Order: sequence, then C-alpha cells, then structure tokens
Amino acid sequence: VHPAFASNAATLRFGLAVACCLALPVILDHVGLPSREQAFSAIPAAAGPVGLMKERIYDDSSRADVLFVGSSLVKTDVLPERLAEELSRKVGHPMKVETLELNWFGADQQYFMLKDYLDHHPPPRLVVLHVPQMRAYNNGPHPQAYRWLRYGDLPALPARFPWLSKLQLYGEMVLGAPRQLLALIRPNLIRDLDGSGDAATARRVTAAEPARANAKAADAVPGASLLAPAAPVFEVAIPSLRNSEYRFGMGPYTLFFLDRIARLVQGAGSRLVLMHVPLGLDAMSDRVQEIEPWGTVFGSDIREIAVPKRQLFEGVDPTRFYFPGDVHMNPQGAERFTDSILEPVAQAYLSADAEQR
Amino acid sequence: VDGDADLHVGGRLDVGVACGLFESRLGLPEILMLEIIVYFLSSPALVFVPVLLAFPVFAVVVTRMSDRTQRYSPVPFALVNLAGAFALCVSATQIALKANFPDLTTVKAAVLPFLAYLATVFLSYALLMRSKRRGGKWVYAALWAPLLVLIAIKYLPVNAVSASRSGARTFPDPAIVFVGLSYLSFRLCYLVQEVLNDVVALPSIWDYLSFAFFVPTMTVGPISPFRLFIGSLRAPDRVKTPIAGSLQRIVVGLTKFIFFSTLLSQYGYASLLLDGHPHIKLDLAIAVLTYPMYLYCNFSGLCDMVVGVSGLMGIEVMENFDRPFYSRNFQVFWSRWHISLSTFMRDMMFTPLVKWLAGRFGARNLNHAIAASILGVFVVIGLWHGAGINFLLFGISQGLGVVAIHYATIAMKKRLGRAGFAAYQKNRAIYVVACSCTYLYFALSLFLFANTWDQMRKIFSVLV
Repeated sequence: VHPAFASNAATLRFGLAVACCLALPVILDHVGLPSREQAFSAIPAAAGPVGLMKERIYDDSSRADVLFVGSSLVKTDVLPERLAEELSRKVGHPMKVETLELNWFGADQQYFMLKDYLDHHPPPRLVVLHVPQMRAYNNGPHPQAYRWLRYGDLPALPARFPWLSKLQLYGEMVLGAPRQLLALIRPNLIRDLDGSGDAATARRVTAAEPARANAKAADAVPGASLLAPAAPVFEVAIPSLRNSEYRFGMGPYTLFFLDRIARLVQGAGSRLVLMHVPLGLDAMSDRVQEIEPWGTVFGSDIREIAVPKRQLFEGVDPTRFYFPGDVHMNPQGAERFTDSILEPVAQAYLSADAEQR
Repeated sequence: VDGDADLHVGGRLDVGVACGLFESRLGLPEILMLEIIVYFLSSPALVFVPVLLAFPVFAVVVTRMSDRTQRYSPVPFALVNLAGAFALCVSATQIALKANFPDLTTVKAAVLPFLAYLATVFLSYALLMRSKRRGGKWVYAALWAPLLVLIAIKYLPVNAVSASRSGARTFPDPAIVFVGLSYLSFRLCYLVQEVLNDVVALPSIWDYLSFAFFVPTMTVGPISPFRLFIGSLRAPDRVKTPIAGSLQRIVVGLTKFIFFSTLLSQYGYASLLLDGHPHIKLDLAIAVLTYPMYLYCNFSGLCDMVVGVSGLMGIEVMENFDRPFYSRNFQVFWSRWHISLSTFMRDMMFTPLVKWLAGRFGARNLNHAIAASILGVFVVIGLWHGAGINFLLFGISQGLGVVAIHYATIAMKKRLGRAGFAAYQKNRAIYVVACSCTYLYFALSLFLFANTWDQMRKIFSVLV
C-alpha cells in the first residue's frame, strides 16, 4: 500500500483543493453569483420544458389569473388552454391560465419557480399547488436542485431546521458551484432544441400512442370538489413496505418549503388552493389519499381540489383508457381531469377575486 | 399558514409510520438512516461502495468464527467472497433491469450471470490443472478459456440475437450484468502464466475461488497477480500494508470518487454538452480538458479504496496509478495510468509478440517489431474497454501516440547524443510543455472513449 500522499506538500495541496471546492458556494456569493435566470437555464432539457418555463418565468411579464404549480403531473394532466377557455365562458371575461412545472417533485423547486415568477409578474388571483401524493413526492431537494440553488437565495432557515437538511442543501450548492462558476464566464444558452422538453410536444407524443378505444372524454365528467382538509373524502395514506416506492411521510425539508410557498402566496395577496391528481397506480377508491393531513400543515382554512378516482372514472377502466403508464394521464385522461376541476377552480377563483377586490 | 413554520420542522415528525417492520413512530435520525439505506439499495451503482467498505469486517468475522487458531481459513474466505460477488451481481442486474429495488425478480435474474461466472472459473481451474500436468495444447486452452468467455459475452450481440428471435430484448444488457468480467478474465489468464512459469504453485480450488471473486478487485480491478494476493493473504506484512496507510487510502479514494469526480462530472460531456441545450464552442473545450481529470478521480479513487480495503486485511494489491498527468510523454503516461492493465499486456502480449516478430523479421527490424507490437497491444486495449469502432479508434490513437514517442526517442537519441538527450530530459520548461502536450493528446483521444457515435453527433449538433 503506497502512502496516500507522496509528500506533506501533496497532502496540503489535496486539503486545499477540498477546502476550496467546499467553500466555492460562499466564494461565489462574494465574487458575484450568476443571475437566477442563468442558474435556471443550467437545468437540462430532460427535466421538462425548461425553455418554456424560463420564458414564462423570466421573459414574459403578463398577468395570469390562475397559476398551477407542480411537477410533471401538472404538465401532462392539466390542460391550461382548455381550462382558460372554459373558465372565461364561466366567469364572463377572458382568463389566462398558466402552469409552472418541471419533472419530478420537489417543494424547493416549486418554491423557487414561484418566487421568481412572482418577482417578474403581477400576482395571479389564484395559485393552485399540486401537493405531494403517495408515489409522487420526495423528501429532499429536487433532483435538479443543485443546478439552480445559489448560496444566499435560501429563505431564512428556522433554528430547528435539521442540520442534516442544512448539510444537504449546502451539499447541493457545492455540487452546483462548478456550473455556476462557468455561467460567470460564458452564458448558459437555452432552447428546446427538438421541442422534446415542451409541454405541448409532450402531449402530442402521448397523443400519438395507439388509440385507446371507447375513450369518451366528451361524456359528462363527474366534477371534483373544493373541500376543506377535514372533509370525509380524505384519508391519510399509510406508507407500507408493500409499496414499491415507500417512504416515511413528509420530512421537514419538504414541509418547510411548502410552508414558505404558502407564505409567498399570502404575501403576494393571492389565494392558495391545493390540488390532488389521480395516478395510474392509485386504487379505485371513494377516498383521496393524503400523504399528510394538509390542514395541519397549511391551516384549516386551506381548500383542496380533489376527486376520488372511483368517482372520476365511474364505469370506465382508467388504466385501459386514460393512463398509458403508471403515473401520468394520456390526452383523453387530461381532458377528463381538466374538465373535472373546472368547477372548483372557477369557484375558488371567484371567491379569491371577490376577496381581493 | 399563519402558524409558526417551526412547528413542522425538527424534532420528531408527526407522521405515523406503520411499515410492517416499524410499529412505532420514528424520529428524524431513524428516518434518515432508513432513507440512506433505501437510497443505497435503490441506487445500485453506489452499492459497490458500502459492499467494499463492509467487506473486510465481514470477511474477518466469518473467517475467524470458523477457525480461531488461524488468521485465514481458505473455505470460509472463499465463501465470503462468493457471497459478496453474488451481491455485486444482484446490484449489476438491478441496474440492467432498471429496477427500483433489489427485489426477488432481480435476485432471480442475477442467478444466471452468477452461474456463468462460476462456470467460467471452474472451467478455467480445470484447464489450469490439466495444463500444469500435461502441458502442450492444454496451456493454450487454459490461457484462452477465460478470454474466450469474455469475448463471447462482451462482444457477441446477445441482445441482437434475442431481440431478432422474440422481437424484444429478453436478456438484460450483458455489458452491465457481467460486471467485472473483463478484470476476472485477465486475472485468471495472468494466473495461468504465473503457474506455468512456476512463479506460484497450483492453487487449491478455494484459493482459486477467493482470488477470482475477491470482492474488492471484482468490479474495478486492478488486474493484480496471484503471487501478491496469496503471499500477503497467508503471511501479511504490516510494513507493506499498514492499517493507518490503508485507512488513509480509503479516505482519499472516497474523496476522489465521491467528491472530486462528482464535481468534475459537471463539466463532462454528458452533464454539460448533452443537456439538451445549445452550447458555445468553449464548452466543448472545457469538456475535453476536464474529462481526463474526472476519469482519473473516478477510477483512481475507486482503486485507492480497493488498495486500502485490501490493505486493511493485509492483502497486497497492485497499484494502478502513479501521478499519470506528470508524464512527459505517452510512453511514460501508459506506465503510470492503469498500470495493472499495461503490465498485464506487456507480459502477456507485448513481450511474446516482439520476440515472435523479431524472430521472424530479424533483429535488424527490432524497432519496427516493437512499434507493431505496441500498436497491436493498444488495439486490444481499446477493444477491451468496450465493443465498438470508437473503442478501436481510441486504442489506435493511444497506440499511435506511444509509437510516435518510440520513434521520436530513437531519432532524438541519434541526433542529440547521450549527453544532449539527458540535457533535453532535464530541461524543466520542456518537461512542462511535454506534460501539457501529453495531457492534451490524451484528453482529445478520450472523446472517442467517452462518447458513442450518436453522442458525438449530438455534441456537434448543439454547438453554436
């Protein structure tokens, strides 16, 4: 076994290299960080419609009436144009519905996207947040967090924020520092080269799959409801080892960022509503499974948009007609789900509008 | 919303967890510990690290439990290595099947590759015994058997055959499932030469199994000779394998592998250029220049851990790297980069080939025989790294680099004379320039190694 280092000088050099890399986020903070826009542009196209989101968040400054925030589930299952059209008809004036989404769940990512959006736009009347669900959540940073998390961007962490989570956050910043350093000497370019990251293209791709017979999206769709967290339709899910992707409930990291999202929305004067999306993996049930009793997290005055899977897909086998995979819906499923949430979204919007006026 | 956010963070989580094994409500440390276990199990590429680090403890406990009077008992040690090798097979199968978790299906799927490993090793052992006793053609059979298995599994289009028959891929990618087969084959082949040259005695089947499936060297080598392994296993020398030094190597290896290589990967081809966005040409230069450093930290970090973990058990393993980026030319570089592979190729291919070519074409053509042998060796090295034209071209580029140095050295010695050549070699400025040129050539040639043709095409298409 050769010695790890040939000399004391080599040991010192190695130690210095480790220390410099570890301190890079702080050094960058002092030297000058790349803009948030540049940091966001480092997210790879595999993470979703990055180009579209960058344009929506940083370039376009028009006002949206309703803003959906979430993961790829929002991208595939909610059709903003359809919703806007129907809502406009219902409300009586043109409505603009926008979505903020990247693949995979991460409350931190949702917080930062929403924060940047609110920094560049007039606040929307209504923010619909897709809350973590069984099989669609994570308890740590978003898989791409290291790309855009900059030292100094974090909201003040409470004293009792677990030190391991703090370490995790700093680790993400260390990991992302080399790319941010690079962004200081040349710009991160962004464009959905082949459109594969674009939400509309993603829907077209799904639509091109073999047609599924008897998908009757035009049929009357049972509506979702705008409910208080204590409504009997909800049940708290119990993670089980039998589930292939079991975890252990919401951790402090996710809860912290969800709380900050709520504060952000409240600070902007908008109304926050939570939304549940049915998954292909979910059992056909009369209940909507909650991974957390959201009333205890967001307060009992929060409202949730939810529709039990059995009610939404009554008389139809959703796995045959609406779910090409285990999680996301196909365009017919997205139409059905979008139609189902129309009423509660309109209701929440009108109530928020009246309140804000 | 108006409440204090601190209510929801820190302390014990207000989350009921009833997941069969855990009836009580869990605190944050327990949850994090379970998350870490789940993380490693669901990230099979990382399983190697905990398996590697836990191996010495496990091996020592099992071998000591079986016979307290001996430091080393061949049978339990072989069985521990077999168990570890099977665990690595399971994690490799998990990667190939893209399974979230090493479930029963994954374990079942890993049985077949593991049996193939066992069959290869038993066949090689049988041929080794036969060649030792009878010599003649059996020597060639013993030398070639592990290599033929490697060629059959790694280079034959198993997937293409199965896909053409059934219309879909029916077998997980052999290149992933048969993790470490390249190293195993070369080690076994090397052992044949050691036994036939009487460097070591014919090993027992248990020692043979322990050597073949020695967990630390199973997946990333080095291609360490049997004489080092068995000598230090039976009679460890703590001067050569100090505990503190071994621990240092593990820590440094972990830092290189997990910390530096992860950071450097941010500038790599996949992470920087293949992120689906356009890039300026400077990005290509950055990827080219940083990739060798990434590769070095990744591979040498793992090798440091292998050397350290083996050293903890008193087992010597060949060093694989010796400050390769301080090499003034490509010849020196390949004596410092992946040393065990170049040593193996020197002993098993280069030397016999030069002898044969010199014998056939005369000593007059010795320099050309050396050059041809170098090129042949590097073609094999290129293909050993992977099946594909890009790997072949990578090997040729390395070979041409070494051949160029071979002829340049001869020419310079003639032109400058002995004293002039010595002065040239001592010149510090020339040394720095030469090291930089060596690094640059290696970095450029790695473009072929690091990317498939499709990736290369994509890289050029995103440059603006």
